[in-house]
Amino acid sequence: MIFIKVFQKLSQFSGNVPLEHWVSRVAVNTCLNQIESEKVRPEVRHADLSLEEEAVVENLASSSDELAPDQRFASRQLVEHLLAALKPVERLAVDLLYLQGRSVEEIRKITGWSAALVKVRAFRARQKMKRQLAKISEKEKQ
Amino acid sequence: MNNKHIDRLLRSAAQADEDAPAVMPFGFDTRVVALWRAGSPKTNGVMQLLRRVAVLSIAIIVISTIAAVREANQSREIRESFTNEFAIADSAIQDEF
Repeated sequence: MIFIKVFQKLSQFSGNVPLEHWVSRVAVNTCLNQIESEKVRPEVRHADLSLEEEAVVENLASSSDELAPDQRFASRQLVEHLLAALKPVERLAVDLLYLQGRSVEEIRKITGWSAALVKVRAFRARQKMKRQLAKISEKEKQ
Repeated sequence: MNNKHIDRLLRSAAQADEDAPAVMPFGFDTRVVALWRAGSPKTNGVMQLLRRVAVLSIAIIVISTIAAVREANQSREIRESFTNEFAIADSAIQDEF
């Protein structure tokens, strides 16, 4: 996100300061904005999804097969949408456990949480994601 | 939606992460370099030539000045030695008369 913002705002770079300083300033501001937006944590709406993401939801509901390789990117975006509605700690648990494929022991070492806490947070996050996904799927059927 | 659905979704999303390596957006490096070049002062060929001529001229002036000073010092020494000879000759002539 920072990379894209730097790319978009490159024309605003005055050249009076070194590029590294300007990039770091952009990074700090982007992070602060992200923290502000995360305080709201709106739930995922069906209208927010792209056509590809809608196709993924439909595919999940209609078939029990693994998603096709060309749907991986869309599924990643859908998961990002679902993660955005979670608490930061739950998001971290899902990211480390399911997306990065780390073991509970590794996560325990990284985060300092107990193994039970890792599992509980991941479980709660999954439940929330499941509910969100069910809502989206119901709206798609309507 | 049950656990299998969410598992499939997460597995697919995890694989997408492996597929997409983190690379710079298209044209990012070009824009940075273009901006950097635009920021540097513009000099045309004539200005560069003038600058070279000026530097060369300064070098020649410095070398000529050093040579002239050395030459002047040497000629002064010669002049002084001649002056002494004349003085000796003068005193010798005066002694004779």
